[in-house]
Amino acid sequence: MTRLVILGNSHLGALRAALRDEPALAQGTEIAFFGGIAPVFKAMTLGPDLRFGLFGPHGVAEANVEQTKKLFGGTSIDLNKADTVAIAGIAWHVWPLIDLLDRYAVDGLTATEEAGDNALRLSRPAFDAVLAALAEASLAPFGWTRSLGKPVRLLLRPVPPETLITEGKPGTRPERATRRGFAQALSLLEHSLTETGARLGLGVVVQPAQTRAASGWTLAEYQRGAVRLAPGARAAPAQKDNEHMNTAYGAACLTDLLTRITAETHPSGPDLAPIQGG
Amino acid sequence: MNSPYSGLPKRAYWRSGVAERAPLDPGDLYQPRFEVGMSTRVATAGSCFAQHVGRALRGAGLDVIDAEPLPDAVPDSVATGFGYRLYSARYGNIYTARQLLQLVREAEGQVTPADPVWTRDGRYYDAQRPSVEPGGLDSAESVQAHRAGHLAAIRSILRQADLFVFTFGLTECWMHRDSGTVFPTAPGTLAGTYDPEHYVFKNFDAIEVLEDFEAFRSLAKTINPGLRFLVTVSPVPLTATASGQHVEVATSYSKSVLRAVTGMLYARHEDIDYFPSYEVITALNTRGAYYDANQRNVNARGVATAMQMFLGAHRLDTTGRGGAVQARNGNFGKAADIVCEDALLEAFAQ
Repeated sequence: MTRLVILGNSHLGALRAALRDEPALAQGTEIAFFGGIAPVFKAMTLGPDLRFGLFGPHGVAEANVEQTKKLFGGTSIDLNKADTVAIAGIAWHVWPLIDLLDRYAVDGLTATEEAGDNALRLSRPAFDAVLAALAEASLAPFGWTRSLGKPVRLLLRPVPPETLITEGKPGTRPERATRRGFAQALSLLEHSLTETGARLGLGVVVQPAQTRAASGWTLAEYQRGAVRLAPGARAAPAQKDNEHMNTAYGAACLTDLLTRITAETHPSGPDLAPIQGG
Repeated sequence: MNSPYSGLPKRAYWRSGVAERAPLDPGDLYQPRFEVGMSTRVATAGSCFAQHVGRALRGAGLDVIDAEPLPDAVPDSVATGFGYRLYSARYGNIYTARQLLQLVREAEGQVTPADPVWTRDGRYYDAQRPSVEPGGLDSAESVQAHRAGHLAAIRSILRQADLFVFTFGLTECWMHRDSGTVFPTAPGTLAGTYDPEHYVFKNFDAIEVLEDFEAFRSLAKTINPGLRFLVTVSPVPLTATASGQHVEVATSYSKSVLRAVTGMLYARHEDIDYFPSYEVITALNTRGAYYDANQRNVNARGVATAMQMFLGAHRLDTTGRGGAVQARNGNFGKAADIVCEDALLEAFAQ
């Protein structure tokens, strides 16, 4: 049996809740979760003997430490027994990309009629260089995972929900970015992340394709009842939480992740499900 | 006996002001004419030394306008390679007062530069800023479309700035023979083709430089009556001269003209301040310590000394860590991190 440890921040919530609701999602894999809300997870490091967690003077507020203990039964986890590791909730500069598209018409991405005569323009080489820099900045903090000596997959945070454009006021940044080629820009950034990850020895797992609208945003059905990491089985659903998604999203991500792990562990196996996502 | 030279401050006498000053003590060369504070909206432009000025001001947390920004997560090494974060807009280095005047007139729709697009290896370059797209663009139309957006950015800068910082760099430039359009680089250096039938060398004199900046100032004040100016002279010598003179003699001429003009501008206009970065770097008591081994590039110590003098005089943060965005630069950044097209002329040396 493959033993998978999924580390992460508040985005662990949807994955954990999904597995709790539907244990069969594990597909026979032994899955353990560990992490903490963003400031806690950020303070966690790889300590001695492949233990990951809070060590030394970490500077985390005591209440947050206690919350982590309640959530996971301790403040560190032994990664020696894990065959493979995933980290959920990787920030990847989606909002800076939205700002960029809001400000610039990108060559080959933004339609001429959308750009206007006096629009600031970003050349494709400059845009590609920006994407590569954003990818590098997103993944560089996870270089430490190479010392684990086992496969590591980084699960990118979900793109905000499509309700930002379908239910928002016209003329907002997300709406303008959508008109200026957001879907294609996202795809290019994901590609850049995957390439950069491969260069750094990190597997990058993008959001499952079926959870995304054609506009690039996350389908509204995956946002309703968003789940965060919190004590108890589930956090209270946050109706206006545009950062986190629900258990259906968590289930889609888990399925996608496990399919990838299975495919890479048993590449010639006859019973592989099709790999989803980018 | 009563003399107008009696009772002057120590800084007025060479012995106390210079000879008795410790080596590398920059002294009190600068007394601001007007205050520059944290709420001052600053626009920067000029020759490559001006990049240090903008970086130091941002590092001190000043509100330096960036009309063509990139996300903070993009490192400077990537951004500056495409002309971003060097100045308040992506115009690249502006070496001469004529180029500055021409650019603002173009932005305001008063002139259209001749020969706007240069080519190299099948790619298309903006002749007025060929370094900002190292690989060029796909078509001449694309260059023009990019330029239209850039000119709009310049218009916005002129309308929102409180202070326009300009570093005078050169008197020499290359000019379109028929139209008088000037270019920041010689044709055939980064792009374009040198044709003596079309291009002519021009070395401006003091009167021309003065008139050009006066015309720029007048136009800028028409657009933004409250705008003030801070002028400096780059202490970086010429990489090469096309004047026929020895490069050291040509440098002396060029810097003398620019220094004289900045002095005249200071004397004429209460809204113009002069910051003596040129004097800080070239001062006799430094004995060349602020230059690299090639005796041309200003080193990090020199940049830091000059900029700390400016910031200190305005009671601003002199550590270079005042701005969150600029924290990525560390202190005042590396002196070698600036982008200078004229340095490419070295490659043409025999």
